[in-house]
Amino acid sequence: MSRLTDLEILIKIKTGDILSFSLLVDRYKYLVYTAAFRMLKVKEDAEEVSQDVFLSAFKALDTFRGDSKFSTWLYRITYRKCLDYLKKNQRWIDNKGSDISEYHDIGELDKRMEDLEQQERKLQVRKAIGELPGDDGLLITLFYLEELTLKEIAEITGYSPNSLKVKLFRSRKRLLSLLKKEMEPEIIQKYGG
Amino acid sequence: MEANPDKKLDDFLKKTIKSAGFEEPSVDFTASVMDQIQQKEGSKFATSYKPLISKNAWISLGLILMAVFAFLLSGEWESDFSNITLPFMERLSDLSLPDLSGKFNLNSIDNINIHPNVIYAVLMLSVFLYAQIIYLKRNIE
Repeated sequence: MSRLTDLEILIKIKTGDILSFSLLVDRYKYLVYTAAFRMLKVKEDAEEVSQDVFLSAFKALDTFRGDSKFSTWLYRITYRKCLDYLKKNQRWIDNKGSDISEYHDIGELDKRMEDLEQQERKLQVRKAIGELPGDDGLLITLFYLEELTLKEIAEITGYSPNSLKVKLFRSRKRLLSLLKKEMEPEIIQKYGG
Repeated sequence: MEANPDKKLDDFLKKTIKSAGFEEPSVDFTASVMDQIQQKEGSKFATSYKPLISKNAWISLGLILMAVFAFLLSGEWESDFSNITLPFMERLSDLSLPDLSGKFNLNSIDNINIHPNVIYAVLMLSVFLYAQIIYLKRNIE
């Protein structure tokens, strides 16, 4: 059986088949949860907000016009819910990160990371992204993992494409420093005994 | 000159971040969401059953049937079906089904002459149609 498109599922839901919404939840839960986790940095908070995102999305399905991707629409809801959550819990987005280090030798870092076990590498990278301040982690995820354009990310976050360019420029250099920092214990272990 | 190190960094980050993939929510995430939806919103969406044969289909069938009967009753046709014998019909007569030809000879109304095979066909069709509806209803429920 071929996979139903988002639009086909939405039509089924509109005709009363609520259970079909679970198909959309399954399809987009990783995306929504990852976005929430990047913003909130706490698993339990991300879980709570992500579930809330889907509840709100369900209630607001009639407002989805189809002029943007369903994923973009969900991302937008997620971003706003996360900001509300942070505000409510007085955890403001703090975009002051560590100083951006000088240019690193990417080739060497790349090689060291490749030497790691896949699972370990995954954990290290996720940890590094998690240490990015404010919503930088989300922006990095949207740009590099989801490969969204600056225009799409602007639509989700409300930032202008130009300020996104600046933010991304800074945050990727920060990420590079964080990755190198994550890898340092491995270097000591490998070379220092 | 700037473009090269930037491109290298871009490519490295893209590869690295893609390898890390998405974070994973809890195992029962979807079930939890659907539970909440059904509790809060379920009453608004009572399961509506769509009939197997829609209203329009019934009306069309009715009209077709009326047209057929009108045509039969009009007597403006002439055909002799007595020579048509399909194999199963011969077997039918071997089973000595009741002779209906007499019962439908409505002498009070002229030109009604429905062949017994037509009666058998309609009866069998009705039986199987009814059986099918019951079977389908049971299976869907």
